[in-house]
Amino acid sequence: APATIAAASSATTWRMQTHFPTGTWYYDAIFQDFARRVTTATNGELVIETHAPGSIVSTGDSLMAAAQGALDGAFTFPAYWVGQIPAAGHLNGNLATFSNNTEMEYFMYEMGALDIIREAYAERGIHQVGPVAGGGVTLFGKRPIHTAADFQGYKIRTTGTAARVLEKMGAAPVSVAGGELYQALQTGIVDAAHWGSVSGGMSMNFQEVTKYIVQPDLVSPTNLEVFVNAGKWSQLGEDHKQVVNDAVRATTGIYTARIMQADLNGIDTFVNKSGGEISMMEASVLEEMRMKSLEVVDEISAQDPKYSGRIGELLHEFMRQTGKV
Amino acid sequence: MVRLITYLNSLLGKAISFAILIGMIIIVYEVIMRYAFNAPTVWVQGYTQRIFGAYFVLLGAYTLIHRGHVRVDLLLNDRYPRWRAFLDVVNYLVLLLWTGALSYQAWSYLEMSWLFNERDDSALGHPIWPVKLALFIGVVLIALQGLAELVDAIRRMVRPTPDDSKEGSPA
Amino acid sequence: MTPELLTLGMFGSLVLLIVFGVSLSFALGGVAVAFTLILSGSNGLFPMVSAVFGTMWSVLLAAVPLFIFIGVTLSKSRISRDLYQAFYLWSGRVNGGLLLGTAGFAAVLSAMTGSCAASTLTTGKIGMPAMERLGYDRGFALGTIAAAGTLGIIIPPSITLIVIGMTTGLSIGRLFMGGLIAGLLMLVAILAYVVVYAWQFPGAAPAIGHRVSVAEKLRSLRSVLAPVTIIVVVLASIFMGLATPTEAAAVGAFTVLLAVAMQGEVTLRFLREVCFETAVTTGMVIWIVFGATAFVSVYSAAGGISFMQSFLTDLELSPWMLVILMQLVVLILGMFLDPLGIILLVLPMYYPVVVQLGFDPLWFCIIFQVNLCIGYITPPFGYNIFYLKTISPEATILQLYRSVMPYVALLLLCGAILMAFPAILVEGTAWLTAG
Ligand code: NA
Ligand code: NA
Repeated sequence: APATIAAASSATTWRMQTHFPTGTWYYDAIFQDFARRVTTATNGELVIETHAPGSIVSTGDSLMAAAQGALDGAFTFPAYWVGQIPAAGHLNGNLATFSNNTEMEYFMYEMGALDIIREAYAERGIHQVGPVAGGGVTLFGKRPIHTAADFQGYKIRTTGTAARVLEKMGAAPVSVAGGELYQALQTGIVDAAHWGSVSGGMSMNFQEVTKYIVQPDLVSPTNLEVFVNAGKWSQLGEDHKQVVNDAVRATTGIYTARIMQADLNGIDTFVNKSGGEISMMEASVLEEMRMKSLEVVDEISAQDPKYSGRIGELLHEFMRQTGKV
Repeated sequence: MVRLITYLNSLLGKAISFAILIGMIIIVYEVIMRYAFNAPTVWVQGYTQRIFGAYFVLLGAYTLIHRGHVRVDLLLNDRYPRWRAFLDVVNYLVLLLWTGALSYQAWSYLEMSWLFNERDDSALGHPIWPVKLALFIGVVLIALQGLAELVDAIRRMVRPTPDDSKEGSPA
Repeated sequence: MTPELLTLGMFGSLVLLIVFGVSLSFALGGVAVAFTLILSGSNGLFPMVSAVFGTMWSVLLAAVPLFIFIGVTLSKSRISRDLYQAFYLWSGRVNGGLLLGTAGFAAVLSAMTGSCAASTLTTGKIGMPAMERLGYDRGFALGTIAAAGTLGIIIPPSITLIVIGMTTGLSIGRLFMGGLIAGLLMLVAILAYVVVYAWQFPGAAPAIGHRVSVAEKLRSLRSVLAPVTIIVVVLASIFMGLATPTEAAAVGAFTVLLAVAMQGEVTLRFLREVCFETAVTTGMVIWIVFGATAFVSVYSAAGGISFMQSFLTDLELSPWMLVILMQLVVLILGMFLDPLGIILLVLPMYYPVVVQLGFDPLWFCIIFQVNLCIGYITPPFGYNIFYLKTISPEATILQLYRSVMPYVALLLLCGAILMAFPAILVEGTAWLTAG
């Protein structure tokens, strides 16, 4: 029920946009499923209207649009906001940190990283509801990667903080628009690319233009997010807030299970039908990537001590506790 | 006043039209760096977006001066100067509705980008507000040019002179 | 507002404004603003500005002015005149020969430039005087140039194919391959028509009277070979995919500038004129995109797009009938609207439906593109007709309309063939991509 007492029948409607392309399985099975889940659990009192990418505002503007009120919220990708909210990079997840959902949720909910991230979003007039785990980050490449030296001069299509880490590993990060990625791999504009996890890359037909899937994933999971205009959030009653929070956490489990199915099938296809190979990185590569990743984390902490600095400390603690450093 | 606006917009349009050369050169530089030196840059893509973004929006007024925004001339009959002037008035009123609204909203759009400290989401991470400033300036300039043309069209409608037989020629 | 009322209101007022001579880009934007204010007041303006910014910020669209730049540079340089001279000398002493050469010239020009303005205007400016001297039937010559000029946006590079790629997410490289196949088919059809017509009516397309010596023919190649080879080789290699479309455009523009400079033509004055002309054309094109994206964002946010999608599927036509109906609508829109406006207005509604029906999206988009080409020569609003009117002012607009009619039918036939035999495009692009 709404926080303020209103007519019993009045329903709240949120207009939410996503960056998921329409026509993908996850547009319906994750985004619209999340919306239906909330609407059902609130008995129709909170209706989430789903909107395709770019249908109301361009994806890059959805944060501002939610702050300004053109949208009520978004189901999207925190890496878009690392420029304006550096802490969003932590929400998205850093390379070579989390190994599974439980670690991620422990870090966010139990260690309290999400509280700090929420403070950072709140400064922009946005309530950060929380992360939605979305599978790993899988590198597809033309050459195998076994040792750290194999990264040298490797042209990798990547973005954001991942680009900074991979650059420190010796790779050459390249920006290419999603629609051109296939051709870029085919013709050697780039040698490697990641597009979500295995199934994400296969949806872009990477199996036709690369030979190797590099394992283990660079991080697992990487996170999506759900955010809402702060005013709209505060107008919700505690019961509805609980429903939305629980729906976000439930979606993590649903999404990763469904992605796991798609990824395992994808690896089968890659190896048995497309003639690809799995290239295992030595443990020392991940160790080095961890160090580089934490270096980038520390650089961001220095730029944004108020939020990223505090989250960075938690991350160091997390890495120590889990024996990763 | 009308002449001054046209003069300034024409000058700025000419200056900005050279930006395409800068854009071209940095992209060629990127291609060379990637193929010849296997060293793609981090900045070219972001600055391609910045240069061409500003180029696009700042050209609006210049194109208007040169009558480049195409119109269907089914009813634009030059034999009736008053009718012609009337249709010009309609054209510029619609332009003003469009660019006036854009100007109004572009200001707060710019302000938010500044306040949010909005940056590229790529490794480049440079501020984005300068492009949004270009957006604001571009839409204000074409709105001003539209206003100037509107004033001229109203004059032609009220008091046509023989040399007004067609829409004012490019300044 | 019901979606029916919204659709009628937005598209109805758009058509009304266009008929009353309001610039397409302003009409699109103005209607978007008006309906935003009606639906949600001034608070609703944010998505519109966001749409405009999204256009500005698109890396892909940066290719558009660069391809326009190539066209302007070539049309102003001696390269295009020398090239035409070679086609003139080589076109032989047969009836219709020079017109065949002229159409071939337009096709080669199309392979270097991204819009119809360059291919049509340059071909008309250089070709018409030569053919009038020979006593060609003016209508026949103009009609052929108008039709051959449409190759400008289907033979790659093409700014409309770039915008189609941007709207659908399809690879622009593959769209270019499909455009090449369709464009070549259209060229063959045009050439065949000229041959048949000149054979039936020799007086309409007389042969060149004097003999051209072999030496003279060979000499004509020398002046053309160097620049054209550079341009074709560079552009061809990048369209094979060594660079992104935007990079291809920049490298192409740079190469053309180099080729022109090698002839000693690049002066500060030349550069200035090229930049100014590119700016005006770019301003026109991009501001139509600004208006159209704003229009679509308002229409979509108010539920228009999803309404149209379910409207299309609820028609309960067979999939093929539905696809044919969609293409017919494009043909009709092409009579009145700018091609970029059509792409941005209808492709977001069509595309998901086409994918859902299981058709090959590339195939659909290339036929869509053929339809847009036809739009360049269909009355009342056809760019190529206007271009030729400026070149041949003594031809009345009605004469021009009449002269393009056979070609409208001919290009429709090309579209129908591509539609009836999907393998041409589907297998063809697959083969080109693999090669
Ligand atoms: Na072309
Ligand atoms: Na037309």
